[in-house]
Amino acid sequence: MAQKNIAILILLLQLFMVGDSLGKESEYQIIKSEKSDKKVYMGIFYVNRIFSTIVKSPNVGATPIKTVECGDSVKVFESSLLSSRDWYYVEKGKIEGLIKKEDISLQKEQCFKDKYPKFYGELILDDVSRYYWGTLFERYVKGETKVKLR
Amino acid sequence: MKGRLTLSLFKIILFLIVMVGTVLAKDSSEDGETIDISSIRDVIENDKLTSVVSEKNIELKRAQEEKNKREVAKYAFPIEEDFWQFLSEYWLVKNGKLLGWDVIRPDYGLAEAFKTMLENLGHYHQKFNILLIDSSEVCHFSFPSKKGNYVFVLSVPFIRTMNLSKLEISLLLFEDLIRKNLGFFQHHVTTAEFKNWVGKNYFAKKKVDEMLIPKILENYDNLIFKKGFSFQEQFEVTKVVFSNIEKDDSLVLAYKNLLHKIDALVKTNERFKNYVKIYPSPELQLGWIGSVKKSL
Repeated sequence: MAQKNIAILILLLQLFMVGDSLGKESEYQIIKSEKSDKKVYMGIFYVNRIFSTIVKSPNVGATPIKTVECGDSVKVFESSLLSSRDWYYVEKGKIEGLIKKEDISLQKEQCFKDKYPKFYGELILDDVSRYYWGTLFERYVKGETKVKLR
Repeated sequence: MKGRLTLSLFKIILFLIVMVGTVLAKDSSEDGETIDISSIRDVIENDKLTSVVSEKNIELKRAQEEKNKREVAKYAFPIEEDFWQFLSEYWLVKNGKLLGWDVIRPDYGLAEAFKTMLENLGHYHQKFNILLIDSSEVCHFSFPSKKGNYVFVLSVPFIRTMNLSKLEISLLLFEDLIRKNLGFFQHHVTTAEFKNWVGKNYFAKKKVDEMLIPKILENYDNLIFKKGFSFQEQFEVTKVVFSNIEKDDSLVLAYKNLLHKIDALVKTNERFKNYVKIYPSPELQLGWIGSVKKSL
């Protein structure tokens, strides 16, 4: 009987430890913000457009926070508060905001500025032009044709 | 173990002999005597010191060459495709306020209509971006860009004033697509100087000719706002558009309707009087369609 009790005690102890380790693991994955938003960390992504804009809300034309450049890295989170599937929640240094999903990718792409650094460096782009270039992609009506299967 | 110790001892002694020999050689050379060092060369070579030194030198040389190559590569001037895509967008950014594209507009279902038409005509794997603008000065254009990629601008006042259908707008864009494929825009804005730079490396010059890009941008302005395309180019475009759509009566009819509407607009509306300077001329295009049809 005593042996049985000890076995149960060990089992409970193990379960408690496993539960504790799972709790620790999920702490890394789920970051709770003040608004009780659950943000799932997805990894480091890279900007794949020449310029893109981190904005305040998930709408085209939303208030811009920061213009990011092709190749820039951002911390990406999937947020439960985001109703639109076209946006990611991102952190860039101390800046937090939203970015269009199509503007970033897991793989770092070869950017124009990396391919032609001196040429690119000679064209002086002021902040307004950089911001405009970032919004240009938002304004495009985009399409792509595919082979039609009959 | 003992053997190794002996060998090390021997090397130390040998090193001391060489050192003393060097000092003596220096003294004796000062006295005008010469020392034959070939006798110790074998020892140095047996120790593989010379080969280690030469390997190190080769490695250093290689690293330096790689560094130089990377530095030279930084001065690559863009290849044609990259250049035109970049410069066209650069021009659009610089003229953003004038064109009035920074306004959020609905897409009017244009992407789907144009995509369907292109697919029906067998134009697959084509990517397009349509920028809706608020301008009566610039009505529609397809800018030079990468192969299979299209950057269109389309004036909302232009399509609204004529009350164009989605099919008619798609045909208007298709005309621009053909014009881009025929390379007419690029032909007008390219300079002789540009051909000497494109795809080449300018490491020796260190800087791009400062007038090169402004001159091409000026050519963009001239073509878009003043000069436009020639009659010959318009004839070529009309011919190719027609050969693409001729088997589909509804498309031929829609294309004719489109040209009639534009013709009426430019003859009656002051805001669009500049149009025929850029695209001569809808009236002639209608005539050309008739002549192409007869010759077939």
